[in-house]
Amino acid sequence: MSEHESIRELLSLAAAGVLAPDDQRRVEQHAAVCDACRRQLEVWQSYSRELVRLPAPAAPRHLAERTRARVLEQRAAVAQKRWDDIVLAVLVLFGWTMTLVTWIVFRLFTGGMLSVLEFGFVRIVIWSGASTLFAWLTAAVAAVMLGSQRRAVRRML
Amino acid sequence: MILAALMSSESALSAVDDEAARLRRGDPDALAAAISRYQHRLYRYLLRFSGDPSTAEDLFQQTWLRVMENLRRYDARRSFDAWLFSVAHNLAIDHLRKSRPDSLDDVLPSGRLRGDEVAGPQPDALEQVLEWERAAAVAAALLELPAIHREVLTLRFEEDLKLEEMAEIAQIPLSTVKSRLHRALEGLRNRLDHQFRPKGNP
Repeated sequence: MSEHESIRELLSLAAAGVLAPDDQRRVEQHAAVCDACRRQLEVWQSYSRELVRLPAPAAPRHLAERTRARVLEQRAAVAQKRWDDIVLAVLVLFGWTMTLVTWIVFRLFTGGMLSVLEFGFVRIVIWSGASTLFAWLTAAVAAVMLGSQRRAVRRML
Repeated sequence: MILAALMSSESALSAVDDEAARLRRGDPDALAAAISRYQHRLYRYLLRFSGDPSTAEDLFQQTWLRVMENLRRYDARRSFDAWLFSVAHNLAIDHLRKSRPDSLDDVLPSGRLRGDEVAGPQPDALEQVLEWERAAAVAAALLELPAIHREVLTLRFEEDLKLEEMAEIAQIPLSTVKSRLHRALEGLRNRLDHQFRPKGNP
C-alpha cells in the first residue's frame, strides 16, 4: 500500500480526532502536499462537525421522576422480602423451641420431674401429634399475618 | 488557605465516588440528583443506540434499576460515567438482540468510497444544502445505520469520549472500536452522498 493509500484509510479517523499523535502528524504532513487527500480530509471534517452539532434530544420531562419512583418501589419490595424472611426465620425458630418445650411440659404433667428423659412409643406418638398440630397452627397464623400485611402495603402503593 | 484549596480539590475529585457511596447508603435525594444529572446524556445515548424514543425511555429506567441492584459491585476506582454507560450498553444490546437482531450489526452493502472522484472539481454534496436540512439529513441517515455504528458515533461525537473510554463502555477491543468508527463514518457518508448527489452529475 502506498503512503497515499494508507493515509486515505486514516482520513476519517483523523477528522474524528481519534488517531495517535504520530499518525495524526503523518496525515497532516501528507495532506499539506496532496490536494486530493486534503480535500477528503475537509469533507470528513465537515461530517464530524455535523455529528457534533446534531440537535440534542432532551429526556422527556417526567422520565427522571418516573425512574426514581420505580427504583424506590423496587427497593421497598426488596426490603419487604427481607422483612418477610426475618419473620419466617423467627417463626421457625419459635416453632422448634415450642416443640421441645411441649415435650418437657408434656412429660412433667404426665410423669413428673424424672420422666423427662424417658421415651416410650405411645408418649412419642401423642407428643408428635400435639406438636405437629401446634406447628401447623403457628404456620397458619403466620401466613394470615404476612398475607394481610402484604395486602395493606399493596393498597398503599 | 492552601489547605482549604487542597481540601476543596480533593472533594471535587471524590465527588463521583461520594455519589456512589451515598447511593449505596440508600439516600433518596442522592438518587434523584444522580438520575437528573445524567438524564439528558443517558437518554440521548440510549435514543441514538436504539433509534426509538419509547425503547430509550424503557431502557433508561431499566438502567437505573440495574445500577441500584449492582451498586455493591461497582468498583470506586472506575469512572462512574463509564460504569453507568456500560450498564446501559448491555441492556440495549440485550434488547436489540431480542427484538430486532438484524438491526444490531447488520452492515448494509456499502458502496465504494469515491475519494478521488469527489476530490475533483465537484464540491462536496453536504456543503450544498442548508444547515437545518443537513442536520435533519444526518439524523435520518443515522437511523439507517446498524445500531452498534450509531453507538460509536454518539459516544465519539456527542459524548466526546476517547477510544479507550468507548472500548470500556462497549466492552470490545480498542482495534474493534477503531474499525467500527471508521465503518460507521463511511456508512454515514455513503448515505448522505447518495442522497445529496446533484441530479445528472453522478
